[in-house]
Amino acid sequence: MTDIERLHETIQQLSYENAQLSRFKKINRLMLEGLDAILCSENHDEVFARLFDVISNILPCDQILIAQHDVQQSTVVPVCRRHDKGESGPLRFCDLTNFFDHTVNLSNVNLVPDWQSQIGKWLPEAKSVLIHPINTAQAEYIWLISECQIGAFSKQYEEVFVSFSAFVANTLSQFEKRSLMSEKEALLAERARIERSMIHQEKMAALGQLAAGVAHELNNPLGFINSNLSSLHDYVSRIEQFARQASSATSALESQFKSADLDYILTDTVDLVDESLDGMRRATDIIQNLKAFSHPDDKTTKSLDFLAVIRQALTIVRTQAKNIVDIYFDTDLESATVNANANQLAQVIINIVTNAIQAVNQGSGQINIAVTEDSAHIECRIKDNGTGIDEKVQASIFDPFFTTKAVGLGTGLGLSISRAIIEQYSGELLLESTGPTGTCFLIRLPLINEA
Amino acid sequence: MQINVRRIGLIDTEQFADELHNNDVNSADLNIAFGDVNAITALSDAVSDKTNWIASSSCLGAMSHLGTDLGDSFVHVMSLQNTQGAIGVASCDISNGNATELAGATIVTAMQRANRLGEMPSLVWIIQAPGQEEAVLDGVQTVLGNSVPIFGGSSADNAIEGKWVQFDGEHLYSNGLVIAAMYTEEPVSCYFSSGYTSTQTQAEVTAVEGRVIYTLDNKPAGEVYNHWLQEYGHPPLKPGSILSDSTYFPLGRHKGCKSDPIPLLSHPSKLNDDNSLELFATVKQGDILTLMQGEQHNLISRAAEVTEVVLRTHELNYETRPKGLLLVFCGGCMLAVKDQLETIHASILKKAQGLPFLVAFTFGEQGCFPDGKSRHGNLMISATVFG
Repeated sequence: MTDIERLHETIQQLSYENAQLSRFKKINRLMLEGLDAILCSENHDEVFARLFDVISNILPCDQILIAQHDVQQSTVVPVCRRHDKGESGPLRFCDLTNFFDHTVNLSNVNLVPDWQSQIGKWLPEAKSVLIHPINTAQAEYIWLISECQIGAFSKQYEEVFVSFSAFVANTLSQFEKRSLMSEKEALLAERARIERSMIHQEKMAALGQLAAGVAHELNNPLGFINSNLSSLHDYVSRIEQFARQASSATSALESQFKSADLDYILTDTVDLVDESLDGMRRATDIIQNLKAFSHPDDKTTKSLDFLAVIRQALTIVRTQAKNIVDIYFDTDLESATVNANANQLAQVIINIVTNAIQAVNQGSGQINIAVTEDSAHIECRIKDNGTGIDEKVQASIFDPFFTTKAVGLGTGLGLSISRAIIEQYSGELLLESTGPTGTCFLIRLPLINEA
Repeated sequence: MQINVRRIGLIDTEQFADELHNNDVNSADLNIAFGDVNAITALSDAVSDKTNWIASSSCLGAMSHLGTDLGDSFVHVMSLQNTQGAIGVASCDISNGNATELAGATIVTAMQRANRLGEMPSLVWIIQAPGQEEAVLDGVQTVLGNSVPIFGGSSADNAIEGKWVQFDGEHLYSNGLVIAAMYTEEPVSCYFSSGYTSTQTQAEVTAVEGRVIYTLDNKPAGEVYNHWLQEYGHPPLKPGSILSDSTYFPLGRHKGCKSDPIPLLSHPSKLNDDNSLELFATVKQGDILTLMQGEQHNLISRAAEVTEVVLRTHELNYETRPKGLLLVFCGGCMLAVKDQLETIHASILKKAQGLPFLVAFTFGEQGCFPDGKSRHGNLMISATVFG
């Protein structure tokens, strides 16, 4: 063989080997540029948009699509695609099982039975389609590359495509992991909330038992003290009346009346009995509140319109709020059905609004009540423009017997009873925000779908 | 995948049939067979099962690692078993209509039989009667596109008498086309080469009809060709068959990528009295034909060289040793180096290093260059490895 012949033969041999080496080069480029695409993208859509650009630059194609197997629905649904051409509706998994099993290089989709009624819907312009299954820890996918000419994807192209699939699978796994992490964080937060709630509930249950016991034990002595004080009030009135009449019968008696300072004593005795009766009534109220706290479920529940309950409660508190605060109630909802006891819900609204009235400045106070809903909950926000709750006491406001009011002005049971009532209906009562411009409480209750 | 090659002689018809029905052959996913016309005809009589066959007559006989048979009726059978994929075989008589349309329908049937309709085969293996190879390739590429590797050869007889035959396991054709659509799990590598050197001598085809060139650069084609031979120190050829005389001076068309074109050869087969030149391949008006030059020692060494290249490429690409080698060697080239066949056989054995192989001697070769498109040429050599 002459040198020229040998050279020609070598060039031809090298061109074959070069074709094989270019395969590795393409895979390397895909990896490198694919990695860049992932690193400089912030979200799922951006990552795949960039990744698809990289793929189509190195592996020329018209369309790239990734579809996921929805196990529950037994369908396959496109999750991302390069161009918005074609439908994106689900297809039956049973018609596509072959594609989830191994790589399929369709050189002429017109020959494939039922193509147009299946993947042809997603890729209406495709003549050649390369399909490869991708399995991650969480899901099964297929990724598809298409061209609008017959036989577009050579064996070498297919090999590069399949080699790069592992990278795409890894990218999908990363998103699944991110999603799992976020779900895990949400679950951990929920678990912490439940644990806090359980501790609170246990504390409340203990307090409830104590309160029930105390209420029961105090109720009888308070009953006869109240009865005795009422009789004493009657007796003292009659004694005072007799003493005043008798003292005016003679000057000697009148003189003795004055010298014994009986006028003051009789008046003070009546006042003392009256004050004792007032104290008695307050003690009775406390006992009633303790009973309500320890037995919040002693009421019947039914489906009711939360908006009607709020309006009813506001008619009561507006009397108290007159000349102090303006109360606004705003909602776009026509009704908001929840499952609860109307009186208890009204008590919650009255408690929170009453607190708000006491927190705002007289004359410039404003309370806004807004009700909204999402797919599963009714949310009622009660917001005042007061000075806010001191940071030091925010953690304690739902504790029983905690109050910042002067002695005699509050039992410290209002918010704790309110929270117990709302939680009894699987809802939440939260201090949503507080600060120098005001405080907002959020009541969230499960929405009952009447349909 | 398992690949076995058997060499079965047609000495005793009953024994021939018995040997054919051994387990390797009967349980094969595909049997590829070559032998002389008598051997393939006998094969068609002996085969009675429904195994996939793609068999063709080969010039004078065939070669395998088991030996070379020229003039004796031996059939060399390569059996592909446990391919972990699918293979469909279909055939037609291409004298029954438009060759392009028939080829298109035949490849569709082959895909259907493999139960892979619409899917790109890993290899299309094809044998056909000489004459309409370009039209046949066009038909297959209309269905599959240009990316699928199509390899194979045109059937041959011993003296270009048109006695060649093709067999698909059921039908024996004299003007047939048999196509195997192969979907193998294990890799396949191929190589297609001419092994000839381009000269600086060129001319444009200015009048042509099918495979008959009337004028080159507006001068009688035979006159131009003879003038070229004289320039290279050879006497002018007389009208008649020029197949063996033109073996070392075929005509080349440069194909593939522009920066690295590869010559696709056409073998002048006959010089007509009207000074027109007949070829074994179709050229088109406007094609530039280059005079190619070959040497005997080059033809002798080609088979081993392509074997080395295809094995190296396969091992580089897939990091695995293939399980079988299939060579298609131009019958014209073989005739030119017929007395050196033992040297060729030994050189292939050395490169194959124990790999079973089968060599056919054909009157036309089909294969694909590195640009991926499959073409028909003459005086070419192809190598295919499986597994």
